[in-house]
Amino acid sequence: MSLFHNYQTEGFYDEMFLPNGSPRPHYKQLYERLANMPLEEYRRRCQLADLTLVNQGITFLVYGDERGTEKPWPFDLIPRIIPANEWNYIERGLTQRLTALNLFTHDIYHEQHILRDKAVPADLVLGAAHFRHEFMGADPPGGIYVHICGSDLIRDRQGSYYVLEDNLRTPSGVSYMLENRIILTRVFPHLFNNLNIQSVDHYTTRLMQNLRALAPEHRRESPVVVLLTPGVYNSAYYEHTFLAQQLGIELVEGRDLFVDDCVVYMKTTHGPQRVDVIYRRVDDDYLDPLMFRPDSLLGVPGLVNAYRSGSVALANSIGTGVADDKAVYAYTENIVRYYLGEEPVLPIVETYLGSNEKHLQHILANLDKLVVKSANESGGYGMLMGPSATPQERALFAEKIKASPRSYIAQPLIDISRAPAFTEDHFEGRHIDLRPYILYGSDGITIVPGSLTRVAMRKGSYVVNSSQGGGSKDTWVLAEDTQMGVQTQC
Amino acid sequence: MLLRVIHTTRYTYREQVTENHNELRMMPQTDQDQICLDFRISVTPPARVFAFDLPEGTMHYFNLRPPHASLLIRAEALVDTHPANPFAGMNLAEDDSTFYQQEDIRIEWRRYLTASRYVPLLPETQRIAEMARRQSGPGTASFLIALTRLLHRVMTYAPGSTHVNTPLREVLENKQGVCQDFAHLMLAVCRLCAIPARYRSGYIYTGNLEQEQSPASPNWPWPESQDSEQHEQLIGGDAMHAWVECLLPDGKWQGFDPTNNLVADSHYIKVQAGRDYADVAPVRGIYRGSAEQNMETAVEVRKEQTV
Amino acid sequence: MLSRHADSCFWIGRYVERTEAAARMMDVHYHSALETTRQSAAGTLSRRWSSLLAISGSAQLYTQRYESENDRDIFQFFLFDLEHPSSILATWQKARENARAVREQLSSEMWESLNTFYLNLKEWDVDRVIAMPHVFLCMVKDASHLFQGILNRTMLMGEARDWLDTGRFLERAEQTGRLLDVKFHDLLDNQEAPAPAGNMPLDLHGWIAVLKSVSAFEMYHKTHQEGILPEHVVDFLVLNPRFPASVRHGIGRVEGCLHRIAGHAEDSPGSEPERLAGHLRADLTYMKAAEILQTGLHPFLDSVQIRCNQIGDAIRAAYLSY
Repeated sequence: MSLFHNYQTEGFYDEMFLPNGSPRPHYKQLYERLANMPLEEYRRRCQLADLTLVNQGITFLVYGDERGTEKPWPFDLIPRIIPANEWNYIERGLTQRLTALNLFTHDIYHEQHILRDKAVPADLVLGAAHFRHEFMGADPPGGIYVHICGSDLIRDRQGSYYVLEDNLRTPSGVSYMLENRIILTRVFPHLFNNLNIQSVDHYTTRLMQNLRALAPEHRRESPVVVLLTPGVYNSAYYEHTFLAQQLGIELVEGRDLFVDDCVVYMKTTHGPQRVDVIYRRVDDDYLDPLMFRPDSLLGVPGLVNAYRSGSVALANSIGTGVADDKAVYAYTENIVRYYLGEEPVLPIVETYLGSNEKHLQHILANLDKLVVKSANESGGYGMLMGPSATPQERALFAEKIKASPRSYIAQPLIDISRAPAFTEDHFEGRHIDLRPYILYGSDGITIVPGSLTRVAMRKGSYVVNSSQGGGSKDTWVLAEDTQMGVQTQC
Repeated sequence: MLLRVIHTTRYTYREQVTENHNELRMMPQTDQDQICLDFRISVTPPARVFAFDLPEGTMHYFNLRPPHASLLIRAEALVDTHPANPFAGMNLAEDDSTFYQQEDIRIEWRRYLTASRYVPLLPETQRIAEMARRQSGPGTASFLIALTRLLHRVMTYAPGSTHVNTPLREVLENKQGVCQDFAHLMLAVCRLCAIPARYRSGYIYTGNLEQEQSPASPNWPWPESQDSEQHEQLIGGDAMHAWVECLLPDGKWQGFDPTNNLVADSHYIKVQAGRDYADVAPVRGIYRGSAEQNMETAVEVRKEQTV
Repeated sequence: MLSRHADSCFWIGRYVERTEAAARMMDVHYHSALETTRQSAAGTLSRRWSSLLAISGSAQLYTQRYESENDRDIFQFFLFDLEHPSSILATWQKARENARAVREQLSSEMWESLNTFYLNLKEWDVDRVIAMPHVFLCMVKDASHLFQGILNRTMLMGEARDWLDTGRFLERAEQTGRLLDVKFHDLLDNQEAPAPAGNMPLDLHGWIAVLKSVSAFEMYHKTHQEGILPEHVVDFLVLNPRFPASVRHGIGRVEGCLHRIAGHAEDSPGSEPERLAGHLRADLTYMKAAEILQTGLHPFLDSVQIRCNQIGDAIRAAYLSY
């Protein structure tokens, strides 16, 4: 019996299957290879993949587990395939978007034209939790604030793409994009045959080039680049070790660094070594206790002033959170129009703001239809899935919203697309999203043709975050000259 | 007026400390009212001092890595103050409140209209605003003068009665505090009344006012007249001073000093402006070592004849 | 190498060695106490524990936390009490925590052996131990040996390994010195003044216990066939360059590691810690046991302890937290 026996799309947009049950053209080859695979063999490959994950230590830390258990992130073997034309569209959209968001960040920390011209409400921007007044007037190298961005895209029932959010501070997950590919080529080498899949392995090379280019001019010959991590107890610590290793740079914690006369050094057993570029995976608040949180032991006193002096570069820069604020998100289409004078390529999801009195009334009256999110939290925390919540949960949440309207936004529930995932002994549709990684360097924007596809492993669930039981898939972007070029609506 | 400021701060630590990082906000700004002719900072043990231009003004920064048991910071400035008549732009008789209802003003000065760390917007301050309103003319300037006077009258200046983290509500209840508290309280009232208001750190010259009058101030409409006698008992000369600046409908920022019941004039040397004390604290530091430290600070402001 | 990584490696070495030393100490004390209790008056048992508390320098902490010196409490204190920084569970846990922070410096087998035994330790409790202390304590020793064997077999010959070894051997030298010091003191029946050489206490059982606690009993006999003589015991445990737990051997290894770490020429000490270690090693090389006993074992061991501490301090200042 085929592993796809009785597979139902249930009215959702399915990445692999047309509503009539036949595979989409760009999935046809893969379908044929998988459909006839005996269950036992598929299982064996799953075990092989799991073993590779554990052996490589590809894990995330389970919070609150006293034994310090590290679990592998569930990896679903069936790749998600994106045809070339769709990818071109995504690439255009995200390039446009990151260009605009960077201009926006620069403007906000300088003249604030956009606020004066009222294209975005000033209250929203200047009152955003991650707006850093202290950085007004600061000039990051090359005027680039966001060097690494991970944007979350979803598709609705019609298959149209939307940007759901941007991660402009310390986006994570790219290690899974790279690792998933490595594992899949080991476990299912024959699946790759004859499919013109674009490679992703130049991501770290490109990132390293961009990071090195950020070094102060006189140090650019052979700059010292480090990756700054909050430490072993951070849930993304595995990724930090992976990236440091791939980039060939030292993985440091705040206590490994010190600042003397506005120069950053790392403490080594052979004396202090000057640091030129910091790829930091630590939030603004914990960078420098002199600047932000005197109680924080994570940071490096004087780091911010060293950064201001230009002796060291940070990627990403400080204060970028103002542009990925969930309330500012509602205006990102305006932001694109304002700075680039063109229509946004990728649309966003309609968003209601708690800070807006009219919107607030709408949110409170339609809690059963909306997804409400906390403007200041990420990772799927602090949110209400209105349609599936109980009346009590909704009532409780309504109180929270009323108490602090500025902290909430709401969006209609999008029936996000699904792709087959393996469950026990057959495939079933599961909701997915798409997180491409965008690199912004001195010579422009690069998007490696690949992504992290996150899967809500629980049946019916819309939440794909790893902290909430999500898994991931390898994501194949097909090259232009692929034989199965098909029209897909975008 | 040519004024020289010598501001010394000495820290003594119970045990040797290391990794001492400090940010200083002590340099007088240069604008249309004053020119900072000279400014130097010396640190003992010696350290290299860096300067950064930040939104609030110039910040100086240095760090000391080797162990040390004391730290002396000496800042010396020479400033020429020559403010225009502070009352020239004040309209006392006309209701100019529509100025503050403009959206542009609210957007541009949002930062000085909302609550900040030390300045919560307490509903209780509404009463103070109403009281000041009853004692003033229709103009905003008139209201602010009345508010300055009211706070000066109601509040007792009591050194040591508060510390930097005393909540404003407590200051309001006990009706006493130091210049920071006077300033924070006035900020709270102004912001509640939608008048953009910022915390101003600086120095004040309290010495004898010479017989000659500043040319800019022949006819001050100050009811009790802002004259030499009053200056002789000024408060705030032996430390860094704080007062409030409000945006007047002529688009200029004017200083009001509730501690001394004065409108800022040539005796005032402006250093930095921020939302409250937290933004402009003269020394902000962090070090590694014993938490026990003692700080002594001394400010001397004297008049100079020539540069 | 990052100072923090070096520091963690150094402490993994120290803590594993410290765990092993604690297990040895407990084992030998417990069993020799059983034997002597049979022979002499009651009360000796508690005296044995007192000397153990003295060796570990934790008598005060113990009296704060427990009412009397009974087997169960003593075992709880030395094995599982996390408030006691030198308990077996506490030191192993710290070794594991340090290893976790520098996993990329270790072989995965090293991490696994630390982690597995940590999880194993958490399955035990004092009541289970009391039933068969020797089994438990052997298991602890074995875990340390396993870790050190894996280290020898799998870890790259590089700076990280030198740091691990520096920690191991410095700790081992200190532990052996301290053990000898306290046992000697004990054998003198708590007299403050050191006995002159001719008057060495001849408590045979005591000296055998000392040797056994560092697994030196058989090895001692191979070197000194004349029987158990205090002078020879001191020679073996302090000055013997070939016995792996001797002070001399430990310090020699520390010196070698520090020399490689500093990366300097053969004939000059590259750093202060190296100079201190070399100096101590030279003293131990050219000294005779009789001389030590002449001037007094206790003051001598005391000075060795102080000099080990100085080496540790110098290492910290030069490499780890500057």
